[in-house]
Amino acid sequence: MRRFSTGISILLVWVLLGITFSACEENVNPFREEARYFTLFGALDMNADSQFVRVSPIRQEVDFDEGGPIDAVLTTFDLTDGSILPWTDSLFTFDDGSQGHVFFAPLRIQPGHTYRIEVERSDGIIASAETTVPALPVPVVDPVSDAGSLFITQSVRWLGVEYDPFNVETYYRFLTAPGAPFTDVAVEYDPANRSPDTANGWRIQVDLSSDKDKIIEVVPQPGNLTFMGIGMGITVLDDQFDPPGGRFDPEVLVQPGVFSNVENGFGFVGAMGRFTVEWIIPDDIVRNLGYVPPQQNP
Amino acid sequence: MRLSHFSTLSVLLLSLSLLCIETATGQTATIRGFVTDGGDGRPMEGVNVVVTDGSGDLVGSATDADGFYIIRRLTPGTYSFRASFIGYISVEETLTLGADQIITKNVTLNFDEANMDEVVVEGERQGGGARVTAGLQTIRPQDMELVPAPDVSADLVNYLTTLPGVVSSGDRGGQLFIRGGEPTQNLVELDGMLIYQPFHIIGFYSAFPADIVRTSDVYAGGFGAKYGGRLSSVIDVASRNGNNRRFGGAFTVAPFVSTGLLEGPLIRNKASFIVSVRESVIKQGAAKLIDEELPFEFGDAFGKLHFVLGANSQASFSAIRTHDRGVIGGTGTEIDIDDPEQQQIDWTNTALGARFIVLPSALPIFAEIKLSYSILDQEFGIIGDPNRTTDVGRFNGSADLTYFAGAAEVGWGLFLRTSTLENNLGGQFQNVTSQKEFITEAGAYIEPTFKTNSGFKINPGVRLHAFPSKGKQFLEPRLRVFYETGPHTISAASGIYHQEIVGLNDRRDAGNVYTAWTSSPLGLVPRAIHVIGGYQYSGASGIDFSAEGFYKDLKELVIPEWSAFPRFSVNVQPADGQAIGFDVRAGYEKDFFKGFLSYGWSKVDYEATGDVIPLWFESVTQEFSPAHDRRHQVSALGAVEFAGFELSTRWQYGSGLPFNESVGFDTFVLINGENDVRTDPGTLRVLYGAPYTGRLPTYHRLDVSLNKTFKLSGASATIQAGAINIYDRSNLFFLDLFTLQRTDQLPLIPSLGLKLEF
Repeated sequence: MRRFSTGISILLVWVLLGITFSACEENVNPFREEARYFTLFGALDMNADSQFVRVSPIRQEVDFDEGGPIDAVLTTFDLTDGSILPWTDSLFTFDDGSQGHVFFAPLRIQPGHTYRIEVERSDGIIASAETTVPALPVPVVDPVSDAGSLFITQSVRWLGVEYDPFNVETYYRFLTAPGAPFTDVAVEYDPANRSPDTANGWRIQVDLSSDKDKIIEVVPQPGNLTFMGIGMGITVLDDQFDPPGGRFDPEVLVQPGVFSNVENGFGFVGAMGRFTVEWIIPDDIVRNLGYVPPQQNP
Repeated sequence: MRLSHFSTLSVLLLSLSLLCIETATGQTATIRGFVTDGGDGRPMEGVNVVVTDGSGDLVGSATDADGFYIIRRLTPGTYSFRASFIGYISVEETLTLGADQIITKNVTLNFDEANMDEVVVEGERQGGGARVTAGLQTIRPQDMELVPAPDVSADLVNYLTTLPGVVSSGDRGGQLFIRGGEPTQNLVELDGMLIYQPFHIIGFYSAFPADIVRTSDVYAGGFGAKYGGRLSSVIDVASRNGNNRRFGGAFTVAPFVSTGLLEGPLIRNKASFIVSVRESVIKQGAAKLIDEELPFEFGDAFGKLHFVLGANSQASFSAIRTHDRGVIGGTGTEIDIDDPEQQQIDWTNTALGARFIVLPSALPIFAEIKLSYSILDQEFGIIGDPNRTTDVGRFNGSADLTYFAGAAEVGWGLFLRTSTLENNLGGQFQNVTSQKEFITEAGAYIEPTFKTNSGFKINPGVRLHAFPSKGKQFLEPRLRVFYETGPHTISAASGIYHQEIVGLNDRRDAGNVYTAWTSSPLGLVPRAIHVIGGYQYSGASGIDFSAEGFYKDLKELVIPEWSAFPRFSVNVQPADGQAIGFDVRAGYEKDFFKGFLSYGWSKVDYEATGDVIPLWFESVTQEFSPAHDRRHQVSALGAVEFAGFELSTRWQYGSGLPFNESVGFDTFVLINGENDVRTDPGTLRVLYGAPYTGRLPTYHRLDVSLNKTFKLSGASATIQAGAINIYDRSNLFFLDLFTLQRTDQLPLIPSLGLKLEF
């Protein structure tokens, strides 16, 4: 009898426990509430007459249709001269068939000016980013340093460039045969080739001798190259245009909040400009480098 | 330094050999042997064997799980020998021992019908959930049978999930995290055969049904020098021998599995067999009961031959094969594992093993020689065209010897292993090379046990584990200490552990348990330090109590990086970690009632140290709680016999597990000074922040079963009615962040099972 009553008691305890918890379900919200509303990606271009910024709403549906209407108005505020410019929304269809809202405006950004890019929702919520356009760079090409013809170098100083320039390349133009089209070769320089210059800028060392080794690897007929010209291109970036680790590695930069300057949102809006300079190298140096000076070409 | 490790161990082993020779020439006698049950010929554990000399002085020993006993240092003369076990008819004999004589005295005890009830009670008192010392708990079939399950036969894993410190992935996936360790850091062996992925895809079942298990030693940490190569825990399962007196068997039908077991003598009293087969019937059973697709299929087959070769030697041959397949992270009627286009996980364990027990006639040594070959074949993807595969195999040869030297026992052993590891990762772990690897391991250990009359038992050890093919070797000191006084036992354990062969798994995807077994990548060798301290009370009044604290320091783990790109192909990165916690257990067992209540608290922290961490988080390391960091666990288990019924209940509670929260989704466009937002469509991005910041809801569930056994002529039938998740709690298993579809653990499933035994 005692066993029976104990058994029944235990069963009752569990039944009561079961009734207490019966069919309860706790929902889980996988989304963390943060005051972030839009993702902005774009680079204001110092060389362009029109600017473009991609705007994506931050959403909680994975299959969100970006081709639909967007509740956003984009405006730029030139914080230097106080001018305000509303942008126009446009729906771009990309090669893969997907769509996205790219806002644009006829705007030539001014060196040294700070722009505030605001995206506002109809309820007044704003996501914004600020960027200060770099100063216009002034290139100064120093004379060739002919160190006994083995290591011929030349410095190009870019005055007014405040931050480490990006995508630094030296362009070479050759004629490989009479009547043939020009052959252009771009030699990319890594950060080891540049250093801050004492006179407010960056100094890029052009390794004319080392570059030749790279050139003959890529030119189809490197035996008799007529040297037609040389130039350099750099991209100047604003102070925030500086990815962690110094590389634009998407596996790194995709991490939300990394390389981001958007308040109340994610993404990055910066300012940049691509600038080039061309110069002439004396014929004797051209010969020392192993090229044919242009006037010797029949 | 490397040479000196080998030298140290060689000197120790040589000294032991010399000691053995010296002992053999001593002037004392030894008596030893095996005790078996007269009913079925199986070894009996815990039998008291004593000898009494003419002056009444008594010396004794208790049999171990093999039924082995040994009594040493007996002065030559005449003794009264007695082997007794409550409920069995004692065997008494007079023996005359000469100088230097080693007598093997095997004993068969026969059941005493008059004390049947007492036997049952006392037999079960060997186990109990609250009996844990220095991280070790020995689980027996009768323990497993306390836990309600949707099957008439019990299973080891169902019991393991009631233990504090054991975090289960739930009803789906078959993953056990023991005291902060990952599933691939558990060493799971059956009769010395490594089982790579031993737990079935449904959380109630493993490769170890209670019907084939003799004992299972579960070290939640702090394991001794006999074990190595894994970082966290050991589950050492010993199967039982078949009945070598008469044929028997059992068949069950239930909504989840149907089983069959046959056993009997091959040569009466000399050789036996046991064969067990289980196959899931979920599709035909449980799924129909709840009218919901349960996309799982599994089964296992086990066979063992046991031979008594002579008075001093035994041999057994075991084989096991398990298979599992299914869709873990999904639910709904659209999932069909027979659909050739359905992505699913599929794995098969196969293992063969031989075990020889030898008592050398001239030496007081218990020698165990084991040979085994284990295979795991695993696939993830479409059947016939999987995008990830793993094929691993391991041959193991080992010799474990115990030398009995008076109050001390010295365990030592040697092992040699070769593993073949072949993975086709399908790009899952981008910085891990998919290649076929051959790894050789060799080593030795020594592990003496010293006992004092004051109740101390000290078990120091050292293990040398070398990987000649990789030029690596590790010297691992271990220590286990016990102090027993009356019903009180204080215990502690510590040790250093390494794991060169690791299992890589992306825990971000709870719905996929695909695991790649490889030599540890990134040039790292994961290592751990364990520290355990505990207290146990085992009272004669039927009350058991234990409290134990633990700390595991984990270094050089290899974990996946995170990526905001919506994919599961990532790099792996190094991480350190630590697990700290304690658990409290209480058991009560009297007459018709058994109860077990436990609470466990633990905290697991990982600290990722990958190259990308400083770039993302502006700190050298990123601390987070991994997906198995369950802080609080409560388990209540009760079984009562009344009116001829056995009622078993289990209630479990677990606080929420960590998961990755996100802010939402957006479109990522690489801005690098060259890209044009007018032409780059961008990539969908998951806006993860720091890893595992969220917590899933708490988990709790009540399972009940009611059994009634009917005696038939020469057989018995047990009918079981029960239900899992009796209050139909929606316990979340997996939330798909992209579809927001939740996959819950199993709902309320009633069950009705039948078991026929003969």
